Amino acid sequence: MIRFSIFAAAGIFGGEALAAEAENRAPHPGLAIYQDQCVECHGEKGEGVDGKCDDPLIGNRSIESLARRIDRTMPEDHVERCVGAEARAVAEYIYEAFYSPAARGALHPPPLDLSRLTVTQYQASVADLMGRFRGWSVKVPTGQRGLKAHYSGTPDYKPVDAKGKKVDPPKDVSVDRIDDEVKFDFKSGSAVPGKFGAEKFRITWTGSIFAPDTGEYEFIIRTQNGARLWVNNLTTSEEKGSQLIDAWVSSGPEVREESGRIFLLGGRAYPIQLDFFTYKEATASIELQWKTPGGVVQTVPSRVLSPDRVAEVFVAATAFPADDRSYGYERGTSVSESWFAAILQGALQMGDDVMEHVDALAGTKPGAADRVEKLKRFCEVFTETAFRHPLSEAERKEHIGDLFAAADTPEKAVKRCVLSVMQSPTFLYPMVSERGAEDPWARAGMLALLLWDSLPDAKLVEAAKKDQLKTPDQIRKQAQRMLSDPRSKAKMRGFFHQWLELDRAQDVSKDSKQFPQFTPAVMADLRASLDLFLDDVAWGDRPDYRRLLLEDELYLNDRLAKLYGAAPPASGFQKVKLDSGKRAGVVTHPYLLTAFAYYNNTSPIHRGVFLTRNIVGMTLKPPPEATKFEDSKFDPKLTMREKVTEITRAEACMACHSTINPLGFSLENFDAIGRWRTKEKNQPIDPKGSFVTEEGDTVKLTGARQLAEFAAGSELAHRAFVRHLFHHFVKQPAAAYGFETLDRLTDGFEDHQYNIRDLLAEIAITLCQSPRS
Amino acid sequence: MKTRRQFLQHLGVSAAAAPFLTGLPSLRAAGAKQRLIIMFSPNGTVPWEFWPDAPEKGQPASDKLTFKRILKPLEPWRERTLMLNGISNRVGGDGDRHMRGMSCLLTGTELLPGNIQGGSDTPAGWASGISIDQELKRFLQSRDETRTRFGSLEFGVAVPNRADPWTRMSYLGANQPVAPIDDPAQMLAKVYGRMKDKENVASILDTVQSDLQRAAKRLPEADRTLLDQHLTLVRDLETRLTRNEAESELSHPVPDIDPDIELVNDNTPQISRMQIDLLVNAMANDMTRVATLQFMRSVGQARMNWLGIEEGHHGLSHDPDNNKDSVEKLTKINEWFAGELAYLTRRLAETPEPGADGSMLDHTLIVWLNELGKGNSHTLDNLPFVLIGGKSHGFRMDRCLQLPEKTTHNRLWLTVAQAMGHDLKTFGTANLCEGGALNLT
Repeated sequence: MIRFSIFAAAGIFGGEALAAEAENRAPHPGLAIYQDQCVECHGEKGEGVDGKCDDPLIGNRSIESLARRIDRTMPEDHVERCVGAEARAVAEYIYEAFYSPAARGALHPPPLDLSRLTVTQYQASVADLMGRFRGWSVKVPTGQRGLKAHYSGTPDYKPVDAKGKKVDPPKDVSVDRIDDEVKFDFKSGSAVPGKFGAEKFRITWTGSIFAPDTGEYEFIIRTQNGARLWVNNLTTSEEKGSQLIDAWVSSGPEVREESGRIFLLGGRAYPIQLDFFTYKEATASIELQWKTPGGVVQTVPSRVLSPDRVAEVFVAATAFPADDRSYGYERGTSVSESWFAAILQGALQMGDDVMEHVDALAGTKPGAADRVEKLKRFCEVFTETAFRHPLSEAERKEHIGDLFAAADTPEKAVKRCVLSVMQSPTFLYPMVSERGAEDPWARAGMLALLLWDSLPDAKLVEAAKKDQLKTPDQIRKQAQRMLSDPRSKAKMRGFFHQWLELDRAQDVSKDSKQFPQFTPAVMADLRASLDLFLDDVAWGDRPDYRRLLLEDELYLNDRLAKLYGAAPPASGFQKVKLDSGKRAGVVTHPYLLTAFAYYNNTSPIHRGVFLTRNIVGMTLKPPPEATKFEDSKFDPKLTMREKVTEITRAEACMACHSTINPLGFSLENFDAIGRWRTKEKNQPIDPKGSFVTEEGDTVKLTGARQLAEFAAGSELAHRAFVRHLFHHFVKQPAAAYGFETLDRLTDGFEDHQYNIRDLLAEIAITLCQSPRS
Repeated sequence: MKTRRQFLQHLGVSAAAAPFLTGLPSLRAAGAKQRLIIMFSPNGTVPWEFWPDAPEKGQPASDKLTFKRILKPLEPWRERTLMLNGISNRVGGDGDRHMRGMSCLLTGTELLPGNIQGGSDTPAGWASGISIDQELKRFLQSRDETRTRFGSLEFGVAVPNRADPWTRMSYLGANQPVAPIDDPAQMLAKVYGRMKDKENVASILDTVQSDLQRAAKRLPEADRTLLDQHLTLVRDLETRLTRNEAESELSHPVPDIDPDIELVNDNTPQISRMQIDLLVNAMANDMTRVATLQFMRSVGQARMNWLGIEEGHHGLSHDPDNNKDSVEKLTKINEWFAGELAYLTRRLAETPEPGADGSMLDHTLIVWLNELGKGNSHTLDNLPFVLIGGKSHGFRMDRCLQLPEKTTHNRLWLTVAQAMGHDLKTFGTANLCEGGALNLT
């Protein structure tokens, strides 16, 4: 590690932890000498003293150089008083205390931004706050896919017997099985021929559905018969209408499309039930489709369905203004009128939800003798869960006692408690807790926010109670446990999306003449393929960062296999080795290659900028002047490489494009939808190039794979990855936790075989041990 | 059906105080208003306890109004009451009579083919056309002088929360049933937004403020900006809420109802009164001029324990006429419905018409109806139609009008529409409109 160059390059990095460490140690022997012989002219922290020594004691000399100078020239009037070992001691002391760039950073660390919960954190927190009373854990079923299906119907019979007498219909019979997805056309027949007839049958599908992303989902039922759909609402009895779609009453033989929309939080599973029935109708069919946020309408795929039921999730449906992302990650560093309105609306919604189920939540019933006590107890648990710590007497009085005393009914008091807690700074600004950083409850709250964007669960609360969040080992163990929770997976997915700038992939369209097979459905499949790969790396048994760059296998389904020239997989998505090992993880994933490309051509500049910043980890300044790439202005015979070279020829451009272009050119073997190609306009592709790193090394590139290999082995790239990850999870500048934080984490990352999960555990320890968190 | 949660989302919010300030009618110049309220109760009536006795042998038919047991609660409003004898639902088509009774009642048109089985009849689906309340809403909303915030409100009392042709009588058009809202809290939220939560929110703003101030003190000066901004927003909200600008604009204050009432069978009497209060209030504030009030549903099994009746309503309605006990209970049940109608009438009569002379009742026509003539025969003939108010519609009241047998109810809807300025020539199935509007003047 070339630590010095980094120190020198960056006054932006602080070093609080260094300073803290220094405080914990015995005072440096140089301090006493400094106090005795130097402080009079140089001041307590080397800031200088007017009229004696105006210049502050700061600079770039090494300790050796400082020691030599002190030995020779200090103190000015008695140079002989501080020589040899003593001069060396003073040099060491001032170097560490305030002289060196590192020490200066430590004395003036970048601020830890005071933040409120981000929108994502708010949504997860309120979901889990209500979840506290519904099992207190977040489960995403794994294992078997599909939905549980219960088929029942009336067996065929003759309504009139041989003597002309009316015969009662036989009893209904039923069949249970698991269906991968709901897409059936029974035509004029029975759903289970041989078991029951076509005239009258009914099917109920139950289980859970996994929402990959946060946003508005549209569900669509296609049927000519009767159907009802419930999503995230366990009240599925007919008498309690809570269905998302009610298409129970049919209307002639035409297939109807009935749809309903619902906002869901990504990374969680929701209960789902679909009821279907047909009676004396000519034909029967049913299909359950959905449209994910930014996705396309498709049959709900088996991979998001599970036959296991899960608990209902409280989803705050309030529309929030988007969080600030100007630093490249979401931060809750501003409040606005619309944010405040959303918080209030969220509080009211929560109030309604609590009041709707108040007795069930409080474990009581109307008229019970101890009902008021139970309601108070509910308020207490609600408040301490939201506040992430046991209540102080003052808090108990303010949010519970006083409210029950003032309100004319206990229900009103409960509602007001919810409203006050949901708007309390203790809930909304976890950082302003009056508990110190060492407090186990503060640590539990911080870990939950770090790894889940949410509130502590039962096990974290238990650990806080027992004061078991003290040592690095204890914290690491908790972090490792927490990382297997779906909430971590959701947060990790958010990180990948941010790191890979997947926002760009929204509304991508391609020239239909050149790419006739490229449809929105392909884009949706590619997204699924990429997510499967990322999940696979992050949560499989080898969460090695380098795999993200180097894996040469891709998840493909039938449609993708056809388009990208692979043998179609047996079913769903399967891992396939594509283009005989020319692929390199995310660098050549067609989803990214497609997103970082033009409508009808590749874009080495977009690809190059992305690679430079996010994969190789170098910084780029904004372009000195805006230049538009206009394809039509070039000689049509030129290759893309030639056009880009031409347009960025100016010296001012080349300051950055000398890096951007070769990196972008290395992906020229992949066309605008990410297919392998060897020729452009009948000329062979030239993916070769070279660039100079920030350390001054020249790197020769021969193509995508080699670029990925370079990044996987480059400290700069590792550091960039660690920084991206840190920012996304912590939502604060890394240096705010200590000048050396990034270096230490990067070192540790390299030592731990680039294990992403271990890195997160180390970040957790860093935060817990920082006096500022 | 939407859940309350989903419903409240749709209220939308532009600023923190907005939820407490929305829901206001636009106050327009007062003028002579005409309103329509359609009240439904299910499962037929007990004809001999409802209709005035037939004239004695040899006596001529008479339009004289007498109040038998069931209508007794309405006797104080004799001058405002018009019974219509002889009206039939002659729509026909698929579906059982309960279904057709219900879903063709306000639409006057056939059911679409479908999958809903009733009795041994051919399965059917939703009605194939718009209902008269929605048709009038459309008409009134199309004109500046009659447009209101909602145009119509659909109230329910103990309507089971399922959608099928037995539970829906209002239709926006073919295949588009309108769900009544049977939760007073939900109706309150729809009509008055979050105004009822104002008090709750206002009561905790002090706590939020002191909380924020304390939190700010724990931070260095430079870090307080965020909390200070937050505090300013809280203070601003408090000012706006205490200025009380919302309610002063309403001519009638938001009714004081318990938003936490449980929607269970035994609370039906209280829910009914809440809904009626809300209905009258919404009309007094001119939020709507058309409303429906649907008690239960066709084939509804309300258990009127508050009358000492444990059996379900529909079950009782099937018992033969010689089952005295059942007939007595059915009479009591229908009497109870009439009592609710009387309460609605009284509330309207007691409330002065905003901006005009007389009471609200003077400007309102109430139609009480039922999907069947009689429960155990499932007849769709001689449906029990009672009209109350009607002054503003020009109807001559205080009589029991003997119409020719099997007069179609389509013709009554033409009459009501025309009386409200909507010159419909046909409504529902065209050939059932033969003869045109009835003469009720």
